[in-house]
This record gives sequence, C-alpha cells and structure tokens, in this order.
Amino acid sequence: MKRLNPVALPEPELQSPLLAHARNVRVEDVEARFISQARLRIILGVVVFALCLAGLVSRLAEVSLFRAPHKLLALTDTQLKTRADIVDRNGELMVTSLKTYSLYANPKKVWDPVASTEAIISVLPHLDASVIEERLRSGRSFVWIARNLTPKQRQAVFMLGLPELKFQTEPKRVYPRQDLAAHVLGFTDIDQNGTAGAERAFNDRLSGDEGTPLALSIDMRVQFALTDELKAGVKKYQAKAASGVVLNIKTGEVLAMASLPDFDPNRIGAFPPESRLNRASMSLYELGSTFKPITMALALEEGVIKDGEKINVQNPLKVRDKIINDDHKSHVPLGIFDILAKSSNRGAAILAMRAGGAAQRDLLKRLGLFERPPIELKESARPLIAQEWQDLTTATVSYGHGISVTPLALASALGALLNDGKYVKPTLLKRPVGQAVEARQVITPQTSRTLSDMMRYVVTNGTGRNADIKGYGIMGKTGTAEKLVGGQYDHKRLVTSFVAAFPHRDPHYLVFVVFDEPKSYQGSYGYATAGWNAAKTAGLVVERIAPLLGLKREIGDIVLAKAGGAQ
Amino acid sequence: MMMGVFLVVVLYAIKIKALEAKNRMAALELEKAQSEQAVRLLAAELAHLQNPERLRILAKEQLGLEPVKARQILPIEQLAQTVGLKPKVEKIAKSGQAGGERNEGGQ
Repeated sequence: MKRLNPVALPEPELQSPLLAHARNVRVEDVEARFISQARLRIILGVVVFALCLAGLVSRLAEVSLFRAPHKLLALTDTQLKTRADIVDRNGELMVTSLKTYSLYANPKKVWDPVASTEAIISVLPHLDASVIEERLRSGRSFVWIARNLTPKQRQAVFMLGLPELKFQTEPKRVYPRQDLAAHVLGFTDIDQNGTAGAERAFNDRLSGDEGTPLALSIDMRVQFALTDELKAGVKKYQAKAASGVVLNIKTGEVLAMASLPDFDPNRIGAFPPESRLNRASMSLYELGSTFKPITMALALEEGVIKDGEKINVQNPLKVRDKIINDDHKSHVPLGIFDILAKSSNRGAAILAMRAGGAAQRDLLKRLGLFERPPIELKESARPLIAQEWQDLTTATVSYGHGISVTPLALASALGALLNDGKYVKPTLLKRPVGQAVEARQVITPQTSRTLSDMMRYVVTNGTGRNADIKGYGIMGKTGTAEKLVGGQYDHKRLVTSFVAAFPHRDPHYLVFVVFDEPKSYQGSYGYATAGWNAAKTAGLVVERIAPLLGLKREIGDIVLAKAGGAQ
Repeated sequence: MMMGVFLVVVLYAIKIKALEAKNRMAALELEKAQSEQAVRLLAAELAHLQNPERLRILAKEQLGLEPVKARQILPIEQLAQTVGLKPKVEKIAKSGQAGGERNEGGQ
C-alpha cells in the first residue's frame, strides 16, 4: 500500500499582513487514519489470541503433567477383612470365609418406622420386630438391621424399595462340614476374631496370612468315623455325654477329637452353652483303670516285680482304713499280665506301693499328667491332683482314682508308653513330612515293648475282648470309674473309658473313648462297665479308621480258614 | 511455541493411555476378586455337599451302603485262600482242554 502524505502547500508569505491574520488550515488524510486504527486492532487481536493460546497450553501442561492421577475404581471386594481357610491334613476344606451382606439403615430418612419395620420383617422374619422398630425410631444416622445376609435375602430386601436401607459387604466364617470337628475348629465372633478352638488358638496366623490355608492334623474321615461311632454309642448306651481322641503316637498329631453333645458353629446361638464344652480336652475325669498301664510301666521300670512272680490279689487289701476291692475277683494270685488283663485294683495298688509315691509322682510328671496337655488349644484343662501324696494316694492313683485328668492328657501319656517310651507333645497342626519330631524318653523301650504285649493280652484274654478286631493287632485297656457326687462315689453313675492302640507289631495309632454315665442295654447282662460300651465303640472306631490310615489287615491261617469255611 | 504445544499434547495422550490402562487393570482386579469369591463359594458348596454325614445318609438310603467291616477286607496275597480261585482255574483249564479236543476232532 502506498503511503499518502499531506499535500504540500506553498510557503505562506509571513511578512504579508493579509496572511498574518488568516485562519490556520489543517488538511488530514482520512484513509491513513483508518488504516492506522485497523493496524492497532489487528495487533490487539493477535495479543489476545496469543494470551488465550498461552493460557490453554499452560492449562494443558498443568493437566497432563502436574495434576494428581484419577482415583482408581473402588475395590470394595478386595478390601474386605478376610481370614485364612482351615483345611484338614488332606487339604479338605473345613472352614472358609464368604462374602455376605449386612443391612443397615439411616433412621433420619425413615418416614414411617412402623411400615418400614413391617416391610423388613416380611422378608426377614427371623428378626425381632420390636427391636427393629426401636432402632428405626432412634433418630441416629446409622443402625444395624441384620448382619451377614445371603444373596437371596439381600435381593428380597432390595425388592422392598425402601430408600433408608443400605447394604455393607462383610465377610462371614462358614463351616461347611457343620458339626463335624466343631470343638476342634471352634468359632469366631461377628468381627472375625477367633473365640474358641483352632480359630482362637491360631487367630494371629489366620488373620495374618490370609492367602495360605491352615492345615490341621485332623483327618476328616477319621474324625467322622470317631464322631459317628460315639453318636451311635451315646444312643445305644443312653450316655449323658461322650468324648474321643485319635492320636498318631509317633508324631503327636491329633487325627480326630470329638465331644458330644456338639454344636454347629454356623448356628452357635441355637445350641445350649454346655454343648460348646470340649470334653476331650477340658473335662476332668477320674478315668479309673485306664491308668493301670502307667502303674505297670512304673512296676517294670522300678523292678518291683520279679519275672514270673505272682501277687496275692485274692486277699483283702486295706490302706489307711480304706479297703481296696476288685470288680473281677480272683481266687488265685496273679502275675503282672493278669493283673492288667483282669484289671485288679489290689494288684495295681500293691505294685505302686512297692515302687513308692515318689517314683509314681515322678513318672506321672514325666508323662505330663501334672500339667495341662501342651496342645495349642486354649481349652485345655489342668489336672486335679492331691495336695498331699500319701500312701493311700499312691494306691488309689494306681488304678485311676484320686487324680482327675482330661481324656487328651491320658491319651498322650499312654501313647508315650507305647511309642518306645517316648513322649511326644500332642499337636493340632499337621507336621511336614520328614520333619524331625521332638520326643522325650520317659520309660525304656524294653518296658514299652512289654507293656504293648500286656495290653494286647488285655484284648485277647482280658476285659477288653469286645474291642478285638481280628487282623489289626489291637492293644487296649478298659477303665470304669464311679463319679464323685457330693463327696461320695455313686456306683450308679459311671465314667467308662477305653484306650485302644494298634497295630501291635509297631504301635502307631491310639484311640481313646470315654462315655459319661452310660447305662446297661439289652445284651450287656445288666453291666454298664467299660468292656460293654467303651471297648466296643473303640473297636468299631478302629475297624473303620484302620483301612483309611492305610493299615494292612494281618490275618492268621486260622482266621482265614474260618472265613473261607463261612463262605 | 509450537514444539511446546506438540510435546504437551503428546504427553497428555500418553497420560490418558496410562490412565486407561490403570482403569482396565483395576477392572480386571475387581473381576479377579469376584471370580475368587465365586470359587470360594463353590468350594464351600462342594464341601457342604461332600459332608460325610450327608454322604452317609445318601449312601445308605440310595445304595444301601454301610461302613466297611473288617471281615470284608483281605490282604491280596491271601485272597486266593478265601474266595477259592483254584476251582475256577481248574474249570478254565478243563474247558481249554475240551476246546482243544473239539478242535482236534474237527481236524
């Protein structure tokens, strides 16, 4: 564009008076002015555009470089407080945690508490209407309505369409085997804290390492066989209660532990409190003659009976004005095998007194009978023992009176007597294969071997015949004790027990069965003693679990001939 | 200026991609957690269905099965002595001989 200049006028004659008085004349180029204004506007536009662009770029930079990342999707499911599963020794699921839905309400949003309560009760009839209504009237902003609902119940609540009701996802402990091993597994409170059994004993492990299941020593199949036979026994013998333990005496692992009456940990509130008592590890009993193998071991260890010597058990025995009687009276002196086989109280008392109270106490202590069984369970009772150990105490303890222990404690002690004399702590945890087992020598292997022969003799020739299952080499001992009621022994209220161990050639497993107040039944000839109930049940348990434990049945030719003949 | 704008746009695009990947990861983790829950539920159901007491009742009612008795178990090496395999062997031998005779006759 050509730049236009103002027109040049002739130089005025300043000296001329005419011009000196003339008006000033200014000539302006209008086009040039417009052009100048347009230029200014363009510059302003460019500046504004540049500022906007700079703002945009800086914002883009701020967003892309310096802004905090978006929050990820809320993973409520993975943030749930969970607890490790519990499995048996073969990996069978015993306890797990599942997601459930807990219902809560905001009472401030409730229009009509009565109508809301009616609606809630219509789909959740197990709730207490008065409690729900009271909560809805509370005026607070949060109240629980029901915890741990199933998906079906949750859907039913959804269908009500009540805006004041909300759900919170919560984990719940589930026991799919119901009452099986209930006392061993225990249970948790609503906040997933272990309050009984393994749930309590291993609470830190279960809540700390959620990913890895906790493997117990329990074998679910053995546990079921024990429980099933105990239940059948309670029914047949009309017993008030029963308990049983199956131990691997080589490793100390508890393969099964049962207590009746039992409960379903899924519905803990539906059962009476006494059903929660683990009678195998918590109840103290004077277990009677099942103590006698300990006395025999004491006599052998102390050398108080010579080879082939017979003890005069047919004569009355009086210790401190107390007359000791035998249930199975003998009219001839008995050797040590027959003292155990015929369960002679007099014979046991004589041998114990020969050995002396100090030696007896020492052996009982080494067998762990003066302390609570060192198992992981918190439900493990300390024994009741005499404060003063007199000669009468020595005599009565020799046949299982005057000392109260738990079935688990006595089972562990008797296991040590048959395990080459080595005491192994009972445990509820599965031992890794090949792990060295810590053991304490309590009696000599020779005594242990003799004792296993004696206990085999009890089953073949003594009071434990009803426990004999051909082919498994069962060793055993019966125990019948009268219950102490109001300071007096009640001969009608018995506690019967039986210890069975097998196989005889290499004792590996031990079954201990206790019945509380069993009654006589048709075919028991009026007897309710251990040989007629506990021994039978123990034998049936062995019959069922021996094949499960991989034991080969060893049958002699005579038995085979009979079996063949029968066919 | 233009280079700066270009770099910012590229960075922004990368960031968006990263966010998308993170969201995808979170969604997959959620799906994984839900699948794990489903597996847990199924495992619990399976354990419930395999409850020994339930199986015992079903086995007895549906199949008439009872727990195994000791007399039903024999060591394999002693089986022959009790079920009488010997006569069976003799029978087979006899029938084999008979067959042979027939064959011979046929020839």
